[in-house]
Amino acid sequence: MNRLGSLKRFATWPLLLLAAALLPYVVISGSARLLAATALIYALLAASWNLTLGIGGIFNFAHVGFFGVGGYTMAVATVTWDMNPWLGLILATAAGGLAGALAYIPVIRMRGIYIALITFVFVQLCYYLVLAIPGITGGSSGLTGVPALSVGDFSFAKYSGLGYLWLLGGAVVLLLVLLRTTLRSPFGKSLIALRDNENLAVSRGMNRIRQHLLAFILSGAVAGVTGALYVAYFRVADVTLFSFGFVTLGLSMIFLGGTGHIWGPVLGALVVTVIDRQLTDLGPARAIIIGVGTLLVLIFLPRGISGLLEDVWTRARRLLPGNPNKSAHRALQKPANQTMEVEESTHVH
Amino acid sequence: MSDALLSILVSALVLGSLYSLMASGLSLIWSTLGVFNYAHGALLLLGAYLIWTFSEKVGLPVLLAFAAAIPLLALLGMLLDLVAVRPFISRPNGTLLVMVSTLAIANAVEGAAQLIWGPQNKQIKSVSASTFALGDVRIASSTLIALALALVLVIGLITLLRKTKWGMAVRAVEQNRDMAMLVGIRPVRIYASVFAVASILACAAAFVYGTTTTITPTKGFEPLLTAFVVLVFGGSATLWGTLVGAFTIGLLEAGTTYWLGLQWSPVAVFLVLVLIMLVRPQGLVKGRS
Repeated sequence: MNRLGSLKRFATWPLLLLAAALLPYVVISGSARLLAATALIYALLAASWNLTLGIGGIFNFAHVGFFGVGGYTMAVATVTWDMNPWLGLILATAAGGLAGALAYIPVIRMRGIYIALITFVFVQLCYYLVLAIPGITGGSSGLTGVPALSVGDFSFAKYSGLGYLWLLGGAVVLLLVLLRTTLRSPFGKSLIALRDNENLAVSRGMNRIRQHLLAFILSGAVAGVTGALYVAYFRVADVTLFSFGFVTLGLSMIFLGGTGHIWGPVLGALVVTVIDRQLTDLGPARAIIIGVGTLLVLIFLPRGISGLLEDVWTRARRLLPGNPNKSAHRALQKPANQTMEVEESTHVH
Repeated sequence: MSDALLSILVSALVLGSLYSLMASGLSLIWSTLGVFNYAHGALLLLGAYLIWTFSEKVGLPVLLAFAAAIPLLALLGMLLDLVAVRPFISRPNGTLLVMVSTLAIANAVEGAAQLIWGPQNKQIKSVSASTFALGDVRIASSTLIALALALVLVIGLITLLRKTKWGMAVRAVEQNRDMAMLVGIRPVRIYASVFAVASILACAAAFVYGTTTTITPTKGFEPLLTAFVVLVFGGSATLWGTLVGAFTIGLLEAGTTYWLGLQWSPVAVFLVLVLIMLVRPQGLVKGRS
């Protein structure tokens, strides 16, 4: 292993955690902190979505629904039922996981396109249910006045959301560690096996329904807590949580970042959030630019930014002193080999 | 027959006409290319706005405005095929990519409609303001026009697919793409023509939609999703199934709106869909045979 490789192996997580801890000292102004917090929330959403969409290879469009369910659970728990926000957070995690399980039930026996459509309908169902029970959810005007998270007397909203930045930054690192551990566990490997060759995986004794249900529950729970954090940060929940624009935004993050790596969607979320912020003044033109941009990325950058970076990284390694033969060998093998290292073989097929 | 029941039936006819036009276009694309066109609602939206522009801004009679919008929408449909479907259709996971790309286009079209036509409500003038009485309920003649349009176009499409050379080519590509190519059919052209035909049907749906309700840039998705429910409900076999499904869902929607209220009706329709999916998960819309 060359020096760069060992650096990558041992220093990544502590460095990421350090970056998360230092983030509020770099991002100081209120608007910059707002942007950073938004980007981190989207990073959580996109990275957890990728567990079913990219890694699981399931055409799951319901993820925004899990996010919204978590957000509404938080808002209803704290505003309508006057509960402690931390309790709301736990409740939202459970609700997200439950929503994941519920959304998976109708698609158990389906494939591809049907899964995409029925999970999409799940989001619509959430939207109309929220509108249909205004007594609890506030209907079309939503629920406002969600309390900010706080520890003792320290409100996370203080100092332009200092506490939120730490919380969200830590959550993103935690999620990446969780996803990496999941991918390396038998469960994660079974998901990839089911995606790449379902018949073989099933014939070797894997239970597709159980593994996919677990993936839905896990990613739903993460989306649920993400939704709760979103609502706790912006202090309001309304039906735009279930809107089409939100679905498109989330998908564009995943596909811009690339589904091939667990950190791809995180990168995509950061980039899209920053671009989206630059476009807010444009009004309706923003939707056009995001839509057309997504299309262009899909056409010209099929593996996303993470795929692009991977290529650059491979080239860089080949140029470095160390073990040129081995590096070249790895680089050549990679596109064709699907079962090498988990993190290198998570492309959607 | 009570008046309530009659008015439910009338609105079911209008909804059924709208959904059958939308769903038959979706079904045609689905069975031929194996993809779902999320931008179909956007096509409906563009059609409605084009008809509105031709009739209100250019001053054409409504029927002429409708006729003028048809070729434009067919072109837009082919453009959609070119940019959002063709680059992905042969890639691994192409169906997922087409869904994402058409969703992105739909979002972009919504933004464009907002820029061009503004967020205000627009309504296309009715062809004829006349009504006739059936019992105590007055039925607008536009209801009958919508019904006639839907029946003529969908049954026309069924006939085209059965009898014409084009229809045979479409069915050939749908059944075996490679064999079709061997006998000299170019799938790329068939796909483009399928999108053109589906867009024309969406334009007719836009005519029905725009004359019966007000349109805003965000209103394309609702009929799209209900049309999807129709596809599933109408089931496996043919466009006849789509036609029956469309009017059944129209009836269900009109009935639940009347008895449960406007906000519960989509919930009921979607729940029915989930129930059907649980019972009949296997290929819900199979190819025509």
